Amino acid sequence: MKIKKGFVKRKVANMYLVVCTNEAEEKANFMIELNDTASYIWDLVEKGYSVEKIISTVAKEYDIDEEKASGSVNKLIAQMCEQGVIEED
Amino acid sequence: MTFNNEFDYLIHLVRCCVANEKPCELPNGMSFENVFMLGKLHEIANIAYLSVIQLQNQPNDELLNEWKEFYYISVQRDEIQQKAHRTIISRFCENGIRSLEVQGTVIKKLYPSTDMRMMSDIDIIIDEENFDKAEEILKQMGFETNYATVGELNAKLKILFIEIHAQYFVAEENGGKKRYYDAMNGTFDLAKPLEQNEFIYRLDNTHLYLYSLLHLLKHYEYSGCGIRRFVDFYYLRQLDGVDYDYINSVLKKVDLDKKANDLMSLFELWFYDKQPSYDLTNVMRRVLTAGNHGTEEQYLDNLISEGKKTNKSFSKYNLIINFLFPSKQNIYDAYPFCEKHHYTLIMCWLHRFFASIFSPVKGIKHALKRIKRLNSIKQLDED
Repeated sequence: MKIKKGFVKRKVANMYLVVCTNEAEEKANFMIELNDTASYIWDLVEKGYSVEKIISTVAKEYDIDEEKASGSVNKLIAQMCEQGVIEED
Repeated sequence: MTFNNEFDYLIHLVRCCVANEKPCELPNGMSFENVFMLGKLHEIANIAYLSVIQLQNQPNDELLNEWKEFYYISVQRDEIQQKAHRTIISRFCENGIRSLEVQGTVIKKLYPSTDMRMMSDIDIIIDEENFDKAEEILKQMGFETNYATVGELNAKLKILFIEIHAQYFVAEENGGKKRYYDAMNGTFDLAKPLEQNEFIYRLDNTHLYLYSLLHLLKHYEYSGCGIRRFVDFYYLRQLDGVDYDYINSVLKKVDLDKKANDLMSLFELWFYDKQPSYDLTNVMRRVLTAGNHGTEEQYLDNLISEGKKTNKSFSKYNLIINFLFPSKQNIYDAYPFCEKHHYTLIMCWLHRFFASIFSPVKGIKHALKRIKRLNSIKQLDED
């Protein structure tokens, strides 16, 4: 799993924004807002972590149990897959 | 703190953002709609947004969302422009083309975040002998290219506009515009290559400041510079080692020192509350009302707001008449010596008239197209 080429995360005002920079991309107007946690998960995806490793890292970072972390991580990753931001290796 | 109008308040919002100050609430009797509209006109609505979200009483949800979207689009645009710029420069380097980045691409790096400084096109200076090679590279990248004039290659790909220049200012300009070339020419002689890449050149801080000031002056003189270029000076003033004596001597030599002083006094009033020693009302009015960076596009955008007030349409006839028979002030701007020697006015006017008829005017076709589009937008607005 990796971030599709052309999608970039930027810190904007009080949150983060993912924009598509690929001119030829159909999703040229695509933008999603990320809060701090989602931004952290984004960084882990970008590092090439597996879903399992992301869940355990998030759980450790935010001092929550893995089941709770799993909910947030899976939800965000499912959204990003649906929106075509993430692709398989 | 008192604000006379929405312009004042817009400048306050921008200043608070760059200076990291707490913004005042919107004064009674003013509307966020107008502030946003003016911010868009001057391409600083994105900066103003960063202050607006600090306010206790924010615009209504609909407007705030529109404003946010404008800001987000400026972020995306910045990413796209920077990515394209990096790719072009890298391709130029691979092909042995040395390049010097100027204007927006350099200045935006002085801002805390590059997206804060909007830019309409990417300006790059290269040696004229490399224009053919550069054009080929741009075409390979999917750009459509055309020569706007000798020494200026334009390239367009969707929202990307690239301007390749051979000089800081066009040498062949007539009248007052020639002064800008006289003030700064020599291109690569004034720049130094990067230590890590011999093909990428940068201006030193003094020349970057001088070039930015000359551009501000040129846009001010020839139809308007807008507020955005003043914001640049908030950051340009923080550059180390700028030789202001040298800059002043160059400006004096080309008789631009007084105008430069006017604009810098206005900047100091807006950003440092420094009261000017003389009346700047006319200078301020011209900056605020005359478009952002002097392109006919922005000029015509202003016409639209004017047209809304007067309910006039923008006809080809009006444009051509204005073009062929410019106002006295426009003649003074194009031929500064005329302001001192009034007896030359008729000669300058005749020169301008015949030059307009016999020289191809790069902007006129574009302006006519733009008028057509603006008239249709105006129609939509009215509907």
